[in-house]
Amino acid sequence: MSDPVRSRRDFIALLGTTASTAWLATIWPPAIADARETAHAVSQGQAPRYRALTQQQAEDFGAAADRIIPRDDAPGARDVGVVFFADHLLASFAPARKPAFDQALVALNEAARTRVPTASSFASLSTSQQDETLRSIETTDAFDLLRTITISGYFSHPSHRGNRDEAGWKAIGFQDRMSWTPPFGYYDQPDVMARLMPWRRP
Amino acid sequence: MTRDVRQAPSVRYAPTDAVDFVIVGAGAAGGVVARELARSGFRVLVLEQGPYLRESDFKHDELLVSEGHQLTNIPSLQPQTFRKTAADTAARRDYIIYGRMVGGGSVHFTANYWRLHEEDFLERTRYGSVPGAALEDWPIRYADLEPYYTRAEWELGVSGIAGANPFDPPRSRPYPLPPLPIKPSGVLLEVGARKLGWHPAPAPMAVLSQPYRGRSGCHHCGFCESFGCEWKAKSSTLATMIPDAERTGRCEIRPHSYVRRIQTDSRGRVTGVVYFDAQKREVMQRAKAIVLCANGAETPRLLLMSASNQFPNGLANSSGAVGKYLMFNGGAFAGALFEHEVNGYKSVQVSRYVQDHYRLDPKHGIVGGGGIDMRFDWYPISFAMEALPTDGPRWGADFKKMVREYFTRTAYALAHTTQLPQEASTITLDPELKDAWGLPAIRTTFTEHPNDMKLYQFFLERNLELLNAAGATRTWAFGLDAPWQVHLLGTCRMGNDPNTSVVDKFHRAHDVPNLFVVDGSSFVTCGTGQPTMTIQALAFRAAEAIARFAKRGEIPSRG
Repeated sequence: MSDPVRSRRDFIALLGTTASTAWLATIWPPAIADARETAHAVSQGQAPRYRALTQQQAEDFGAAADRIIPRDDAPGARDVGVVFFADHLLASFAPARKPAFDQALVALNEAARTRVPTASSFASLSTSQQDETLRSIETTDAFDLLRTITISGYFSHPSHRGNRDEAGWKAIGFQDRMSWTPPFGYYDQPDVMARLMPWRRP
Repeated sequence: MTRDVRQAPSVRYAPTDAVDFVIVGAGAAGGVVARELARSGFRVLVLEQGPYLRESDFKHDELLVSEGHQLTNIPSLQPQTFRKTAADTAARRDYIIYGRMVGGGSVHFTANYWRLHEEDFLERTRYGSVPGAALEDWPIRYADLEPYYTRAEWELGVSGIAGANPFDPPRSRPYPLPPLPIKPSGVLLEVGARKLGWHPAPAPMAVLSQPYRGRSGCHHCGFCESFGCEWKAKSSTLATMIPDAERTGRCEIRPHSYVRRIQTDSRGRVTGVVYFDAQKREVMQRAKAIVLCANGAETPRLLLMSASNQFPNGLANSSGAVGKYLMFNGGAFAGALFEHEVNGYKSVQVSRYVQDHYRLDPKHGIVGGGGIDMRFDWYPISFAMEALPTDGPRWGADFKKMVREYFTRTAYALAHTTQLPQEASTITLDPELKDAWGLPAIRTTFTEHPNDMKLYQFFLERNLELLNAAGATRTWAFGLDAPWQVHLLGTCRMGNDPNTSVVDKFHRAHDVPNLFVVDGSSFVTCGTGQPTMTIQALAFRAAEAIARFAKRGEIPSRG
């Protein structure tokens, strides 16, 4: 994990799961129903039920995730359910990563107390203190794991409980469709091609 | 849960029934060989370690294919080790990725479908002896393979324009299908390449631009690389050869069948295989002849695991070449930001390529060459994790802003290059690590030849030059070290000399008259092109020869 070459699949190694067919079986469509149920419970003001995370872990991870992908004019990490994604990830298809996740949050809280000795938790810090804390550990494996889970939860298929209402996809202009027709973007529009590619036969 | 059998098999063979051919591996090569031998009238059984998925099992779900390894080998069950040289102790690392399902890697590949060129078969003649490299000419020439390149294009369905690439080797027939629509990245490649005086062309792709032989044309959903095609528009063997083979009524595809050993008799002929079924029970399947199509890593591994008193160094390995001369192709990768929407996530990854540097001018002092395409082979998670400039923000408001600004406006130049064969680059059995079935893990030993690194650097510079000429507002380079490998080549090289090669020019093992090896392991040099098309052309050619030998009674089996 300390390999400086950040491969395009390093994030897989970071998650390092023992993917099971049991997990595959949970994806469609029960996961969607479950995610809807959880979202509904939250919207009704009920406390979310976590299967792998403690309430404190959910708060600390959620706070960190919201600094990694903060809210701007698009939702932040917690807004789209990244904490539920993490809970689902660690409860079902990556339970082997739970110890590393626990350790990452311990490291996060230790770093928080190094900055603010009186802090009760990372989540209790101000956002600028949280940013300072994260900056102090940003080259560590612990941070990489929190970042990887946050990004995966923000951009994964909504059936995994994150990316609620495809908000992560909408934020970057991605749409999941079974079919597109040309022109796909700016440069392949007929008038643009005629200008850029005068050699092209109509 | 995924269903493993799409239809009742047309035929089932008992393990005690000595079928004409057992084929190990139902991938790019195995699918072709199975269909051709079954159509020639032979009784064929294909053993595939992975599942038999159908199109409805494919999802636009990054975690399912990356994290769930739905279509590929599974590191938790099949761990691997890696070391740079034989002097090092190999450490746990999953370096090799391959298709593990009926259809193999042809299901999830990008579908770049390049022929090798005439000079790719004659690199020893061209370059002479290169220190540290085991450069040899192939025992066949481009002209020997040309009819089978053409067959592959027409049987599988390939889109392109004959003659559009001035560097293309001679061909006997045009492409069966016109090229896919040009993408924004294709326009940018044409603009940049033309500005540099290069000769861009529509990329030949094994994806249907129009309906063909009962299959749908491409709908441009964009989920090609790493994914299976729900539309059957990608010309995988799962969508083409495998159903053809089953329709003969003589071919059984048996998924979840993980071969652990090839059995031989006292005369040194193969008599069958031992495999683990889905319940991890060992089954002995008899066969008159065996065709190994298990890929350039699993094929040598199986031969090495089949060592016996008679074949102490592994089956078909009197030359010692089994597992050696491992190659992957090389490359270089660079990214660029453009002013307007590129939307690379739509449609096939690649629509234009350029081969002006297919063979470098001797003045550079570098052996080999490469081709360059412009592409976008990211999905939302991988894009945010890995696609941005490596010196950019990795988290926080600036990071999010960058992901949002860049996702629809980036394109990437990928060079695909030669890599020299070296005796010390190998697939061997790890002496300690075992897989979930108790079999020795794949151990990869690999270091690039110094020439390769010079070549990659040359192409990294060309990539950046191309992106800038195309009008990029910002460019960035990626590291030259490959984090993992998918093109598995050279480990049972083909040759006329039984002392230095594993199979002859018709893919028959020099040491074993009823054993054939047909996959990327047959490559003598990796060539400059994308390899899948050559693997499949070799498979068509080998299958024709094997059928001919069998009909003439020239494949002796158990006496």
